[in-house]
Parts: sequence; C-alpha cells; structure tokens
Amino acid sequence: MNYLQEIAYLIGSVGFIIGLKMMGTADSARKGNLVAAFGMAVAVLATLFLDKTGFHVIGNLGYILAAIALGTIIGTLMAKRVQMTAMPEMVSLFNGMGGLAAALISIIEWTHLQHTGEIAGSRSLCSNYRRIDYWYSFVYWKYGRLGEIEWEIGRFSFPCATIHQCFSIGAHFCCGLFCIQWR
Amino acid sequence: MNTLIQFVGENITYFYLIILMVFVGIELISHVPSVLHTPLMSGANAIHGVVIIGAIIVLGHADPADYFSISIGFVGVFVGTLNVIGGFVVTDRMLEMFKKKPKK
Repeated sequence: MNYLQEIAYLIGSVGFIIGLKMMGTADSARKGNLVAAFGMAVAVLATLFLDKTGFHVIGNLGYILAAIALGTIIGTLMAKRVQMTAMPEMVSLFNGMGGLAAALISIIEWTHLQHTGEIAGSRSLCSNYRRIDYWYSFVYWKYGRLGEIEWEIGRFSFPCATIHQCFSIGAHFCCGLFCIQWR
Repeated sequence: MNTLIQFVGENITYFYLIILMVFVGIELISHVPSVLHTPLMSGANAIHGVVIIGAIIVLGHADPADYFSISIGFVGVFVGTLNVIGGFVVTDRMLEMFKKKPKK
C-alpha cells in the first residue's frame, strides 16, 4: 500500500479550509481564494498521477486532459466576460454544473453496477437528489430574482436562499447517512 | 433502538467527522463581514466543484471501448472543470474590487 494519494487529498482538504478561513477577512481574501485553488490543483493532480500502488497514470488520460482543457478555456471566458451585476446568476449556473457532473457520474456508476448485478440503492438515491439539485440551480439561474422573493409564513419571513440552504443541508446529510449504510 | 446504537457504534468515525465538520463550517463562516458574504459563497461553490475528482476517477476507470461511458464521463469532467475554474475566476474577480478600498 502506498498512501501518497490519501496524503495529497489531506493536503488539499486543509488547503480548502485554510482558504475559506482566509476569505473571511478582506485583507487576505484574494490569497485565500488562491490557497483553495491550490488545494484543488493538488487533489486533481493526485487523482491523475497517483494510485494505491504509488505513481500510476490514470486510464483515458487523453480524454480527461482534453475535457479539463476545454472546461478551463470556456470556464475562464464565461467568468471573465460576465457582467458584475449578473454574478450571482453566473455562480448559480456554475454550481448547477457541479450538480450535473455528479448526476453524470451516477449515471455511469449505475450502468456499471447494472452490469455487475449489484443493487445501487444508495447511489440512485444520491443521483436523484443531485439531479434535483442541478435543476434547482438551473431554475435559480434562469429566474435569478428568486433569491429576492421572501415567503411570509405567519410572522416569519424566509428568503428563498435560506430555504435552498436548508434543503441542501438536509439532503446532503440524508444522502451521507444512506451512503454509509449501503456502502 | 439497538440497531441504531449499533449503527452509530460501527460508523463512529463518520459521526465524529460529520459533527466536527459542522463545527468547522460554523467557525469558518461566522464573524465574516457581510460585504464578504458573496465572494465567500462563490468560493465555497468553487470548492464544491471537488466532485470533479469523482468524475475523473469514473472516466479514468471506464472501458476505452465503452463509448457511452466515455462520452458521459467526458461531459462530466468538462462541466466539473467549468464549476471549479469558473468558480475560482469569478471569486477572484469579485475580490479584485475589494483590494482598492483600503487606499481611500
């Protein structure tokens, strides 16, 4: 066993946490963003070039690098060109892209498990949730004003963003528990 | 009740992880000035794009002859990269605006 990949993931996670913490203060916020990006780069490189057996280049490397290059170019262009006022919708769209990626992963995993004959209870549940998350983000992006609507229930008024957060946290938590149970 | 206790006991590491993560999360986002909320949300979204790791693993282990998995995985890695790169660049652009303020 070679734990280089696990250690790289650990470094990446610590980078995320330190980066987020630094983003909480105006002076170090920009550096914090870079620290988080560094953590992500470490994690991606560890996935591409490390393995449980040590240094091992992952299969289909050509396809993966092509997809990453395409995503980098288009993502940078989209992010650079968007108007400052349209930022929240843009962030929401990017968030939805992450959800879509997870949904696509689950489709492959599901077909893979169908071939091997295992029951994919927890995974299909997760995938369904991720699809909901994706469409929710899509709707949020499409009708960006949604965040400004406040729902008044009795004496309490909830901004929609809070409802989205509660939905998200709850669903993530439930999926986590299901995944642990049926792993 | 017994099964619940057994479930918690068998997965106690995960429960520690979840609970400690809740505290880390609360600690990270509390006492943040409200002008920084939007970039913080955007940065957290970029980190959320870590799902790209999963997409890379799935595409990397797909059979090269299985074009269905390859094409779906390709799109998965592509949109995952959009999430990560776009998220970090957008956050950087937002934070660019804050840098000039202390000079006033």
